[in-house]
Amino acid sequence: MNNLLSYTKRTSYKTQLHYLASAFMSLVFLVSMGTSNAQTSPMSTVPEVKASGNGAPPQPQVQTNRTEAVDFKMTVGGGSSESSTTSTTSSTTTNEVVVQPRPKIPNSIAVTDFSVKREYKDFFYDEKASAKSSFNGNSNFGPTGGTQPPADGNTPQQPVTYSGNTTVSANSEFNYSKSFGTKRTISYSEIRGINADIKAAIIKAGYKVVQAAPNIAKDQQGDDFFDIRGRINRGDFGDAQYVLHGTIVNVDVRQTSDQIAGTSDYSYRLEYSLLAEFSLVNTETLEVIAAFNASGSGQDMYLGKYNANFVPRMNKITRDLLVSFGQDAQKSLYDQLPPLNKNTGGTGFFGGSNQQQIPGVGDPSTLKVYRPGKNNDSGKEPNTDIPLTIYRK
Amino acid sequence: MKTLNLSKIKYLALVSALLVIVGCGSSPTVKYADTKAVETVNTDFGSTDLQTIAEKMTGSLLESRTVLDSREPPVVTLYPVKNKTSDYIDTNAITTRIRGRLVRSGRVQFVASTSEMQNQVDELKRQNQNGLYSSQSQVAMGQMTGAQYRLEGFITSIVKQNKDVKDVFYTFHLTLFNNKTGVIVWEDEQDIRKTASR
Repeated sequence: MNNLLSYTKRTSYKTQLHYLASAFMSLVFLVSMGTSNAQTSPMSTVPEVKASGNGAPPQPQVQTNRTEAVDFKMTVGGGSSESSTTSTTSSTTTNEVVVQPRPKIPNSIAVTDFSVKREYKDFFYDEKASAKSSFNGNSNFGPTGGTQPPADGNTPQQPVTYSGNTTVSANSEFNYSKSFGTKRTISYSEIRGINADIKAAIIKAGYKVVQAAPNIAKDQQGDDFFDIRGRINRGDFGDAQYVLHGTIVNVDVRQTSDQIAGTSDYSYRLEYSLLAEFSLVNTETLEVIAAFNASGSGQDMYLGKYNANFVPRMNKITRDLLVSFGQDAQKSLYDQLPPLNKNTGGTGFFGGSNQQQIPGVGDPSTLKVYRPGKNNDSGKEPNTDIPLTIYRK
Repeated sequence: MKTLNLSKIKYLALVSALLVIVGCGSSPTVKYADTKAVETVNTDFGSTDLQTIAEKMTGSLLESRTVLDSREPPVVTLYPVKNKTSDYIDTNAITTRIRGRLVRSGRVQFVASTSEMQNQVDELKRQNQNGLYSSQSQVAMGQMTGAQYRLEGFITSIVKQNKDVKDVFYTFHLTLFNNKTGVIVWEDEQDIRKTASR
């Protein structure tokens, strides 16, 4: 930089401008081929930004020309990045940093809680009546003229006039209003605690389950509460490769009492049934990988005479409902789950998981049968050095 | 005359006493008979009729495709057989006999019929609704097996008689319904004709 400044002192003003322009253009050209970095490399090659697989932020390489102090800030999150570069020269420039999206955890599924929309309709009836009345009366009466009779009696007496005024006012007000109709209330919420068996099935299948962020309804929430794409873009599901999104279609409650044929007893029954829709969505491509409906029901019953007091056991009903629902969902899930990526290793239901696979342990494809040792007649351990047969798929 | 009358009365009283004593002392002869022997006391529905119907119906049902083609013994429930005759016939005895033969064959299963449900319900109530039994041992409610088929039927009779001959024609009819589809999967009848003449 000092060389550059001293050089410019020896040249004319016009020449200085020419050289400065040339230097600026060179700087722009060279910097445009790379990105800024705290580690300046005057002759670095084309930068290559690679996102690491373990979640560490990428370290971009920067190519600059004749810059000495470079500050670089980059934030990785949701695909956005910020960068700023300063230079001691009058020319300051940066180029775009291409940041690849954070890689997904292979064979991972985030399971959402059940988003549910509740709609209430309440009939309301309001009737008001009010009455108000007032009565005002005012009366004046008295002499308005005339004189007292003189003492001498010669002066004629002026007649006395009496006048009166009466004012009466009455006011009556009666108000009546009646309003009735149906009030419609919609609420959005999530139901938790239903997906445990489904998560267990996913884990058994060899997948990793990622905890999803809760979906919290806003004020004036609309049906975008069910927008799974928006939630994926917001990063509600972490780095999960797939998200299993469930929506409750219907919840049915039935309470019945029927006489049992051939007996004098009645069967009192309370049954809850649940129907839900599931979609397994690829968080990268938004492709729906699998979709199915699952249903379950739970009931409690009581046998008794007519008008018996039936107190249902809600815990039993809920447990039965969840068990049957989970079994139904598991069955459909196993039928449609995509095959595991075996390159990530594993010993899961479909042949892999993210755990380190130990050859020969727990894998039926490497079953080995060992021949007992020659001296194995006194309770000694069998000879496990030489396998007799190795079965492979 | 008076003496003669007294002696006559005494004689009659003695004879009457003797008759009473002799009558009370004599008992009917009882013996075991062959249960499979043909009974022809009268034309009423009798033991031979019962045995004939039960044997014929059981054999026919066991030879039906419903039973022969089933991997597992079909589950059947029994409905009361309607008595459409003018006589009193214990139809429950007929159906129970048929059911017993079918169950013993091992090729048909029966669940509690409507007439047997009260005891079934009472037992479930006893085990589940009084807190006396452990949850591990008690039989859960709502786990009864539903019948795939139901067996129902009727018995009719045609009676004709004159002063010398009485002719009774019984028809016993059984039908097996598929409870799921309502389809009649088996049906058979057994005719019995009985004639009494003087």
